[in-house]
Amino acid sequence: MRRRTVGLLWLPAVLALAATPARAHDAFGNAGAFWGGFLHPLTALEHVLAIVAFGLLAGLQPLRPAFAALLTFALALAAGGIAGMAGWTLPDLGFVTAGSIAVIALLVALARPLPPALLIALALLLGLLHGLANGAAVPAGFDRIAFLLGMVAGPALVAHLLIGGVRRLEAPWTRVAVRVLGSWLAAVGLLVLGRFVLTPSAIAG
Amino acid sequence: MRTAALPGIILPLLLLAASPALAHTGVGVIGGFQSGFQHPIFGIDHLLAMVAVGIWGAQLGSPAIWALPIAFPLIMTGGGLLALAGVGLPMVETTIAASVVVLGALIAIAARLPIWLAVVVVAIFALSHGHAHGTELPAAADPIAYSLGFVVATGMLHAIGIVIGLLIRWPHGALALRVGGGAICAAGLWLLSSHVIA
Repeated sequence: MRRRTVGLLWLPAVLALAATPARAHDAFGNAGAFWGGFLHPLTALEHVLAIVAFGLLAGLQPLRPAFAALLTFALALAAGGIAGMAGWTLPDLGFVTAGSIAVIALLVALARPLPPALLIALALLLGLLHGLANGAAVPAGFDRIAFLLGMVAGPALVAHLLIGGVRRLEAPWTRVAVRVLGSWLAAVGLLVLGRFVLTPSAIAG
Repeated sequence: MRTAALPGIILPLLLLAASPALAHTGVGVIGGFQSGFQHPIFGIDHLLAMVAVGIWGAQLGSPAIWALPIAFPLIMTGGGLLALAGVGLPMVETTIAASVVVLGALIAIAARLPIWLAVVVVAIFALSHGHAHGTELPAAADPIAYSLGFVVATGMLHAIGIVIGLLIRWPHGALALRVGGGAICAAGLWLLSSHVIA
C-alpha cells in the first residue's frame, strides 16, 4: 500500500513539470528567472534526450552510485552554469551533445553494472556541458542566482524522477523496456553524431 | 503491482517529448519528428518487414524476443551511418521487399533458426532500412527530431509485431501467426515483382 501511494505521489509532480514548458515558453520573460532557468534545458530536444538517458542509466545502478551521480550532476550543472554566466563559452557543441547521448544511451542498452567512478565521471561531464550551455544563455536582466537554481533544479529533478522510476521496476519485461528505450536513444545520438561527422556540408547549409 | 511504475516512466518521457514541440512554435521540431515518424509507417514494405521482425521474434521466444528490439535500432543506425558517409548499398528497396518475403516465409514455416542466423537475416533488413532513411537525414529540417521520430516509429512497429506474436501462447493463435506469415510473404512477393519488373 505504501509503495502505491509513493507511486501516485510523483505522477502529479511529473504532470505539473511536463505541462509547464508548453505554456511558459511564450512568456519566458514573465515566468521569472527561476522558471526561465528551470525550463531552458527542458525545451531543447538534445538536452532532454541526454538527461533522460542519464536518468535511465543511473536508475539501472545500485542506490549509492546512483545517488552520488545525481548529486555530481547537480553540482556540475551549477559549476558549469556559473562558468557559462561568467562568459566561458564553448564552440558549437552539437556533436558533443549527440555523442554524449550516444555513449550514455548505449550503456543503458547494454545494462551492465558500471564502475561507480565511470558513472560519476559521466555525470560530471554531462553536468558541466549542459551547465555551460544553459548558463551562457541567461537572458539579460534576469536574476542570475534564481536562473542558476532553476537550471540546476530542472534537469536534476527529471533525472531524479527517472532514477526513482527505473529503480522500482522489477518485472523482467519492464527492464527490457528500459534497455529498448536506451537503444532508441543511442540510435538517435549515433545518427545525429554521424550527420555532424560524416556530412558536415549539410550542416553549413 | 510493481509494474505500476512503468507508466510512471513512460508518462514523463512522453510528456517531455511533447512539450518541446509545443514550446517551439517553428515547424522545425514538429516537422522533423513527423517526417521521421511517417517514413517507416507509410512505406508498406518497411511496415510489413518491421511487424514481421516483431512477430518472428515472439515466435522464436527468448532471447530473440528481447534481443531484437534492442539490437535492431543499433544495426539500423549502422545502415544510416553508411548512407551519411555516402556509401551506397546495392538495391536497397529490392532488398527490403525481399526481406518481407523471407521474414513472412520464416513465420509461415515457424522456422527455428539459431540465434546468430536470425540476427543475420534481420540485420540485412535493418541495414537496408537504416540506409533508406539515413539518405534523407541530411536534408531534414531538424535532424535530431527526425531521427527520434524515425527510431520511435520503428520501435513501435516492432512492439506491435511482438504483441501480435504473443498469440503464440494459444494453439489457434500459433496457427493464425503462420497464416499471417504466409500473407506477409505473399504481399512481399507482390512488392518484389513491382521492383523486378519496373
